[in-house]
Amino acid sequence: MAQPTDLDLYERIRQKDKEALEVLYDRYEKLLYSFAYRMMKDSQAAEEVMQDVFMKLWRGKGAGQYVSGRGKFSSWLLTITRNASIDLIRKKKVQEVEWDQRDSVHEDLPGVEQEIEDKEERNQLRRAVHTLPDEQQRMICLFYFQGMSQREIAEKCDIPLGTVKGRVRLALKKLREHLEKEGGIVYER
Amino acid sequence: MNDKPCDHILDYINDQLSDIERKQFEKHLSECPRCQEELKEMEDLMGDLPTYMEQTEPPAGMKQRVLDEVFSNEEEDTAPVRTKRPVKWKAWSGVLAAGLLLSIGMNVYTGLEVSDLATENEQLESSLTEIQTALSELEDSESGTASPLQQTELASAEGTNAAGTATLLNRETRQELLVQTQNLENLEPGEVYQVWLIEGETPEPAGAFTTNDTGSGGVAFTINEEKSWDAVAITKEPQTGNQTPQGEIILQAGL
Repeated sequence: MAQPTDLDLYERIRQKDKEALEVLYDRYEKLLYSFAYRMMKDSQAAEEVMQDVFMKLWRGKGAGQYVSGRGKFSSWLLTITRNASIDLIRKKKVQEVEWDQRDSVHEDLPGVEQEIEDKEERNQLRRAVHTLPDEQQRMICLFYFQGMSQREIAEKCDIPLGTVKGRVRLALKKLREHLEKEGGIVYER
Repeated sequence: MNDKPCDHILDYINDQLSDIERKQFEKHLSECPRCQEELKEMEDLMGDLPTYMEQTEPPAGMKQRVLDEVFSNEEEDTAPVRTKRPVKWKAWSGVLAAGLLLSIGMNVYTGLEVSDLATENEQLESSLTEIQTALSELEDSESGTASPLQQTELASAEGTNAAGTATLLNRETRQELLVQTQNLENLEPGEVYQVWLIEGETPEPAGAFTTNDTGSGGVAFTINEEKSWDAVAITKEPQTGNQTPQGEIILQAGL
């Protein structure tokens, strides 16, 4: 029996088919959880992100609505996972700042090892990030993994606001070039 | 924060804009090919990064916890959670029925003569009794206990003696609207009194009824959709089944 495509499942989810959500969950659990875990660096927070993502998907409103034509379904799922993570990071940060003033001052150059901590040998992303110059590593870390605003990045890195976009783009582009040499895991069905 | 709209693209991607800023940027995006291209490029660059990341084993039991939470919240969603919202439906009723009394709820009394008040009270008391009877009948006919969430007197249009009450009932996981009226004008054959539930400025049909010789009538309606209703209104319609009102508002109240 042919496996239902992601879009088949999404359509069924819109019809409130619980089984379809479960199938989609099984298909993406590991990818989304791993990603959320990389973003949050905490298993409980990552689970909170998962909760948020699947709640949005099930409700199918606003951010939980997939518009085909705006890229692959899997990319869209990853985008809402990333947004849910950024959202939670920000909420947690607000709490931290309230009782830990050091947070804003104590921002040493975040070693990407520390941000994307990795115990396994096989981690293409980490390897690829490492090939980049420090400044580009930092752009990826602050923009991609911490979800910071343009202004925050400009302040943290002490660079003009207007240059942030170009630097982030360049860093992502370079990262991409390294990654494409290796090839990733294909999830889309 | 930034001067040029194009400068918002990073914050748009990172979901860092306020609702207003986001809408502004989306409007700009629809008109700016360069931003469209940049956004597409950024999305392509970032889209699959997680697939290159090290995989982490999900904690035991997460699937059950996540899905249970999703589905149980869904059930709560359909259960009514009612919060008072500002009345936004005036535009709707205004367009439809200029010159009608727009006062809502208790305000109607200030416009009435004291003598009218006494009559009104009497009428309302009797309709309340009728509603209670109808309520207990409903309880008998179906399982599940109903409890009134809100009861409101309907305000009548100027120049009519129409009166009535609307009651929102909670029954298990759904809601019912019970409408009871009197002193309504007699209908022409084919005409009906139509009840509308209004969310914002959008009316939705919520049951229709005809009246007896003395101008009394009412209807019980099961509310299937989870919405935060702002108002209830009754119009006279030339036929049943209208999806939007044609006739003027006879009775109305904010919820």
